[in-house]
Amino acid sequence: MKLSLSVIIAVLTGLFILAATFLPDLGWDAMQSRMVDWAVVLAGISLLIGIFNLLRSHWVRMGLNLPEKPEAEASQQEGARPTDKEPQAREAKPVKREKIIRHADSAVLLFGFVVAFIGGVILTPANNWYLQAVSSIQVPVESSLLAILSIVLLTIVFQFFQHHHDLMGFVFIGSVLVFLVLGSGLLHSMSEARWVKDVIAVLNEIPLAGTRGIVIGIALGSIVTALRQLLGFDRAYRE
Amino acid sequence: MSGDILFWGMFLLAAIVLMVVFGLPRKKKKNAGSEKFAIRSIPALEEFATRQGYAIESGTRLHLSAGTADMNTQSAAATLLAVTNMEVLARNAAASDRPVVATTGDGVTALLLQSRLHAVYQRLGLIEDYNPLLTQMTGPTPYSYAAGAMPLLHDEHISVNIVTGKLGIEGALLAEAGRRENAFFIGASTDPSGQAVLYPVSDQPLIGEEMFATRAILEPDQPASTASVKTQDVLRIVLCVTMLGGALLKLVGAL
Repeated sequence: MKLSLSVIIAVLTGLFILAATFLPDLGWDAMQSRMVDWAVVLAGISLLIGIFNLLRSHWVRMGLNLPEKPEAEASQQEGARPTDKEPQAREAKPVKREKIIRHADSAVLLFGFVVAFIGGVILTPANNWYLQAVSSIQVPVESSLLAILSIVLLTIVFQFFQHHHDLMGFVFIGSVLVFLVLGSGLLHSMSEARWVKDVIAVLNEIPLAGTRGIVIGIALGSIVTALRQLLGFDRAYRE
Repeated sequence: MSGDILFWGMFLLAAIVLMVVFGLPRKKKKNAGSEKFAIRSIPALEEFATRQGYAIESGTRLHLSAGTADMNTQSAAATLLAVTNMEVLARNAAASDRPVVATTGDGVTALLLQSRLHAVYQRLGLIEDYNPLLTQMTGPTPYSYAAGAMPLLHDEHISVNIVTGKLGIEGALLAEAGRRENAFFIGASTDPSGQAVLYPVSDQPLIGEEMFATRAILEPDQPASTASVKTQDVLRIVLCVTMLGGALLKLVGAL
């Protein structure tokens, strides 16, 4: 394992935070919380850098020409090449349209950012009018995305069933139907019988058990991955 | 009581560290019986490894999503894993015309991705080809991240997509955008609702902890990656036996 100054600092910092968490008697709490505060401040700065990076990418996107499609993809999507006299003009049209769409996307984002930023600086984010203006754009946009998402999820379920005629496909569709009925509360209103309620209670435990199983697996993976980072086997930072 | 928990926490961590370190195959044994150290088969990741090779050869691009988790959340480990995965993919695809593109919804992760990518290009002597815009924070909130990443899949001619990290139900939007481009898609999330959505949309299902084996599949000759996957498997079996044993003991009234 190659050691460098950044690796040593990262490993020692990680071990220090871990020791301070597991051994509170050492009295390193104050230093630990100060170091965590530094991390929070740095995370805030990195968000600003991330946003700057996003704006930059859209700025570049507006200025760049659309790259040519790779040969393999072009032949797959378009089939045989056009053989008439104006093949270039035919190909240029969709490329031009895509270019306009790309430019419009990026222009809207940059314009929206500038307006929101200037508005926030002048009016402050606590201003009622500003909040209302932002939320009256943000809420409908997010609602529209949710609406699209519901349709996408529906098509995904149908496509999944189309492509998986195996046991897992039937289990998946079966569970979707069972939990749709359970979630609608139809069975609760249909019967007051004790056994029906017991069956519903047992069925409702199944997704909970599945979730716990997945979360336990993820937790184990997270522990091992975190330790590998902490000991310097894997490095997500610059060496 | 709190002291007991801390003691057992330290004990467990020390045990895992020892398992990871001593689980590394020794050099002499590596050639003698490498199948002994092979990890279990994960079809989704194996197909992903094949597809990434095809993508590089056919001049299309790979997209890696590191999710939207902040570094100060429980999903940080999965996000760090995505960063190291990106490094492996970037190394494989660096010399091709269309190197890997990585997106995230977190500023710190974006910086880490950028830093690792820069390091890969520097190490390979391709620094003049490095483009910082290959790693992007496409939006700071889950939906804005998905909305920002969706057009990228079309613009950059993505043919292979992988999601490892925290992604909620908005992952379906990303998968659908990839599907419109006929892109291969696999994904696993630390968020159970995201995992529920990613399961049916993936071309090959990948569940939860399987995402932690990505590096071991992409780099099977790296003993440290294989050892950690094996450690995970052993811990899972120990945990299952403990839980079942505990339940049985409770059933017979011994606990």
